[in-house]
Amino acid sequence: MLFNSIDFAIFLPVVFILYWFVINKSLRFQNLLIVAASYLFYGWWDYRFLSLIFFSTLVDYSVGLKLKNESKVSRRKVLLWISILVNLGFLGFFKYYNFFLDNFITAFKFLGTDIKANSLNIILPVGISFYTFQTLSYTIDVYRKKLEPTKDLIAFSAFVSFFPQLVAGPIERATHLLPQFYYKRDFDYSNAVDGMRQILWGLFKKIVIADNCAEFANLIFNNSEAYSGSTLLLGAFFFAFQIYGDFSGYSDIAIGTSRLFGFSLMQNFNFPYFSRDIAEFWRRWHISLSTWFRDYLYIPLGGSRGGIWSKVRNTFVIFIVSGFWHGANWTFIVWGVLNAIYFLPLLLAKKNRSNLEVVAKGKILPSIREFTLMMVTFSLTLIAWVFFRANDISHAYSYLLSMFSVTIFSVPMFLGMKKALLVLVIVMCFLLIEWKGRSCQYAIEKLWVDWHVLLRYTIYSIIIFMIVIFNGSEQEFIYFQF
Amino acid sequence: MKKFIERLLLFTVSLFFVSIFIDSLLSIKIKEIHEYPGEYEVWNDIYSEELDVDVAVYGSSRAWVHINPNQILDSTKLMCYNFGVDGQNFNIQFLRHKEYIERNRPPKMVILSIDVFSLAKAKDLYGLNQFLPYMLWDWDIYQFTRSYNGFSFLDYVLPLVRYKGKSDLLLKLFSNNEDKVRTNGYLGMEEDWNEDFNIAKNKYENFEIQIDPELVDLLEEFIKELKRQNILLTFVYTPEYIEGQDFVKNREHIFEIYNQLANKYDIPFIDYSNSFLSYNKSLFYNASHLNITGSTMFTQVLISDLKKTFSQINNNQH
Repeated sequence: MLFNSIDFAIFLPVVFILYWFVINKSLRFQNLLIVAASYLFYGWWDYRFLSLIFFSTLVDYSVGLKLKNESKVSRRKVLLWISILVNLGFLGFFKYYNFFLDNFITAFKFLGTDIKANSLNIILPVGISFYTFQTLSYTIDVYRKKLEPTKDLIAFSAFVSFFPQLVAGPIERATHLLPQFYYKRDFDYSNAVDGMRQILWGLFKKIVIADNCAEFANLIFNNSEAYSGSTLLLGAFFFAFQIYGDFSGYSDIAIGTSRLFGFSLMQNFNFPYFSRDIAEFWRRWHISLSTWFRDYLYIPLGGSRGGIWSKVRNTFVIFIVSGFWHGANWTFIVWGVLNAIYFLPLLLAKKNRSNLEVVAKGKILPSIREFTLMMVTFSLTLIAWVFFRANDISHAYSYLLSMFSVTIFSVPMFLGMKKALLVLVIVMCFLLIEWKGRSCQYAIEKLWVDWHVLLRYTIYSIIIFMIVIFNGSEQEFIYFQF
Repeated sequence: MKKFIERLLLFTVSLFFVSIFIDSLLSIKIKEIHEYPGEYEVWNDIYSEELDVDVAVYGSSRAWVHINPNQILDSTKLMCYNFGVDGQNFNIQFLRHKEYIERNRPPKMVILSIDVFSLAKAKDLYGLNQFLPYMLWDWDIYQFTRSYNGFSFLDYVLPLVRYKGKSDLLLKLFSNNEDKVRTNGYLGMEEDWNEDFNIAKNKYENFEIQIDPELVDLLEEFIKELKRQNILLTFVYTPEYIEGQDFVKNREHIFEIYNQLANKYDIPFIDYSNSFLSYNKSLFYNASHLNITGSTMFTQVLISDLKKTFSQINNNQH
């Protein structure tokens, strides 16, 4: 079920009413309703893959209970590896099987040996990368004794399948989300209103920003050989806002929806395009995944401790794995490598933590230096996004080659320029609102809240009208495919 | 919780009323758009409730680019309006008639331009933007357009919903041309022969049109209704370039249906498929459509034939 669909517009109020008005007296029933609603939400797309979630849930629940009673280190390790192998096994099969097979065939062919093997027609289960990492965080934390394993299968099932963040995150840690299923949730007016506001802003980002940018990003990327450098630059710009609006919009809707049910999810995006360096960008972009890799991969590898070689190795490992997590394509791996190259100089110069505060804190405008740094960082990410969006490496290479040709100084030209200009104006207005609210969890969290109710309602109405009128052609969320 | 629900309801209700207001504003502005093929202009004239027409022309694009009402007015002193609607079969042509007749003085005579596609089944609603500013809570439009792939039920009943994703339409408001496209529903096409013929040849060669029995019934109902109201009806098959007449395999069967209805209800049927106009390529811009020179010549021929038919009918009535 898509957040931006009529189905969800009916589903959400029904679940909300049942949750707060019908079974509000029983925590167990509320958790059960969340599980049922989550399975319905997921099954709406393809019910066959519910068995995967159910199996992962059972495996990690059982492993958690076994770990509790097991003190022998070697046996604990075996249990941990069972969980890791099962979860990553599913992920590997559904997401990476064909990729590895194709690359093995190519590699052997290169060495002069022809291998006959047919790739399988595998459907990628929506959100498998997200819930796999979420359940893994539970087993690893239980193994590390950071978390007491749960005996409550319903609460654990609800944690694994919690519908607002099931298919595209934020990837919650068991230490943060699971305990919230243990205690009675009370309805909090301001939290619910805040949740509604965040849903509204998420829908705006997805429908108005992402879907409209997608129209032109797709047009330009799909016919890149026909366009000038300036048009290709514009295409990359549109894609940058498509992916940001799409993914951060989804996160806002997920967080806002959770708030309606009395849950708190972690912030997933923190105005990444206002970053002054790549390290700051990665502290602000897809935070739940970055911190997951930091805690469960980077730090166990040694993190930024050790010699230069170890730092370089760890940085490349985490960025390449992060890239590969996004999809079974070399473009994502190059995207990861590129980000590692951007990041490494900062790490080696020990400047990777120099911009921890929000940019231009307490000021209306950034300084020239801050503005320049933001523009440079954005430009670097823009180049990296070309690899992320391109069909393959050669497409990305030719795209960048044409983009950085002399035609970059020409006037952009393509079909639908008038609408593209309108979308650009909307993106600029959106950026201004984002800038104004950059110290908050989401841009409009505190914007207009002290205004008269009528004015506030008028602004929310305008946002809703824009969502209706500028409803773009794209529907799916990009991150569903990851 | 009570406060939350109250506020949510208050917001929803106020949003609903504001939506109606914005919907009306938007619809008014969209109705003012003058763009090819000028459908808004015709709908506006219909809904203005001020049409004073003696001769009404119905049909598809083969009506509104072929029959010039001003020539009819000049020759017969009868007020004429061309209600032809682009790319539509008799279903939407009938909707136009219904909307027109309910709001305006009925005509004395109707010229129905029929063609091979008039009774054809259609799945998709062609040119659906033309309905947007008029369709909210309009039962007739709902009845005649709901069966197509085009609108959902919510589009007909909730303000603004049908404008979902219509930002292109919004952009047109800022670049609107003030000049009308059609004159009394007619537009003469100043075009030379184009590639449409070859495209149609590939697309429609040996093409069998699926007749919609419901449309045949609707046409019969329409005939009966005009008879009841003493409105004269004439079937006209406007000129069609001779080489394009072989495309449709069941053309004869379609003509049989028209002939049967014409005989059953004593309706004059003037067929120009074999007229001298249909052999002159220079009068067409594609196989189905006359250019402005062709339509001017054709309207003149039609007027003269109608005059003969009028006297016939008058004689019959006496």
